Amino acid sequence: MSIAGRLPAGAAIAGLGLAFALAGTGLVGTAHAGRRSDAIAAYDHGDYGSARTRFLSLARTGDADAAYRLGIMSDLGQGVPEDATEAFRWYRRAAVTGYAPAEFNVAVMLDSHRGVPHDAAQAAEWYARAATHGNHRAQYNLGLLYSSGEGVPRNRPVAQAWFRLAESGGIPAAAEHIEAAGTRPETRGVASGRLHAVTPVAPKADTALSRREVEIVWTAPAQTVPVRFFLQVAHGGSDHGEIYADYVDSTAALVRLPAGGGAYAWRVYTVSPTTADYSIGAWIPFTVRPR
Amino acid sequence: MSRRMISLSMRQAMPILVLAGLGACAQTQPPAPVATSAPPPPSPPAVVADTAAKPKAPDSLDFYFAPGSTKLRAEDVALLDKASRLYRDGNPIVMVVAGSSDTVGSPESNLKLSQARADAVLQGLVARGIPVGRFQVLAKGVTDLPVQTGEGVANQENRRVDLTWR
Repeated sequence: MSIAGRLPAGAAIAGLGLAFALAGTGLVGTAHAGRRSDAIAAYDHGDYGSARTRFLSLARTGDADAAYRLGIMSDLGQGVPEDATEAFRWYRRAAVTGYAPAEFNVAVMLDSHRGVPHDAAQAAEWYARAATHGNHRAQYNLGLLYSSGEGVPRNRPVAQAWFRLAESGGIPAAAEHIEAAGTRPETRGVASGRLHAVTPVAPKADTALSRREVEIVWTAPAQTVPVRFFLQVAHGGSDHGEIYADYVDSTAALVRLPAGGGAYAWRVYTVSPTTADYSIGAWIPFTVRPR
Repeated sequence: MSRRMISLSMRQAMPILVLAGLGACAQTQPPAPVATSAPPPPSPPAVVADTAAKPKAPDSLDFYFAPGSTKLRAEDVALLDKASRLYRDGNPIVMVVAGSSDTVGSPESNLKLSQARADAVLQGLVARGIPVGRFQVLAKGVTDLPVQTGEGVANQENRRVDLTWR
């Protein structure tokens, strides 16, 4: 569903809308931190049995890093038989809390059919989530998916946006993919006002979150004119409740949520900066539990 | 950085192995003991199906080179990108980059060549953000050839770098 028209005057134009913040890792005080450092020390000394027991206990309290490390132990067969499927389960458990290293590993396993069936679309979603936390390898790999159209629509400008982020984050290989400024999409000249709306990916409609921030992910088909995305997140899904509004060249952003919880919604405009034509995606409602 | 690590003496024509910052990660763990309780009730078909259904990612990639060349071909960029999409973060998995050469020329120059080839692949992987400490670089020259040939044979199969991981 989309509406074409002119960009509202109230929409602020700002820079690249990727906010980087630390992922919530389930750290809850010094006693917990001490237990975690004991577990990591045991792991580093190769005492996998003791490390595993400690990580299991921490993971039960919701510690995402402990779940992630249990994933690595199953992935490599440290203290347990190697089991990629079990590793994927642990990585995923950590990833759903917004823990970026686990999000990246979930993406890689879906991408390379290790432990799970190959699913490029889901891999792209998890790369995008990790990318919003500043994981530059995720940005690079997502650029590759948008270049080849695996799991996402083939979209050269979006691939370029991801490669630029990866390159600025210290992935030199991304530079080889970056085209000279001013390179235009392959086809041009289609009447304005016909921009395609984005496809929302995450959070899905009516998702309930208990998080400090939310990774917002969408995909977009190639357009016939250069476009940018304008992400809006609002309390109650109305312009009056806006808590975030910014331009984004890539296809994901991390948005910090106000304390207190409530009903929110997000939507993405597809905007042509040259003509100010735009297309609006539908509001995607989600709720945040108070914390 | 990686160049420094593999620039060992090339006077000897023996294979060179460089361990790059593996630390505690290079330990091999014995398999976990199997529980010795009473055998479970027989349900072999389910067990077999479960094992067979587990998908497995490939665990090696090969890069080939032109005679005398240490330059990666255009199609190898796709292989490096594939490696980037296989390597998980945080895992102390070791990637082994093993360079070989054909038997044209002296063993010394071929060792040097195989080292430069392994280096080219290593550079490509590090450029994709894989930590440099996760590699063993092995320059094999004309020892342990993928395809055994006599001297002076320009076998394409031997002008390559094997990338394996565990």
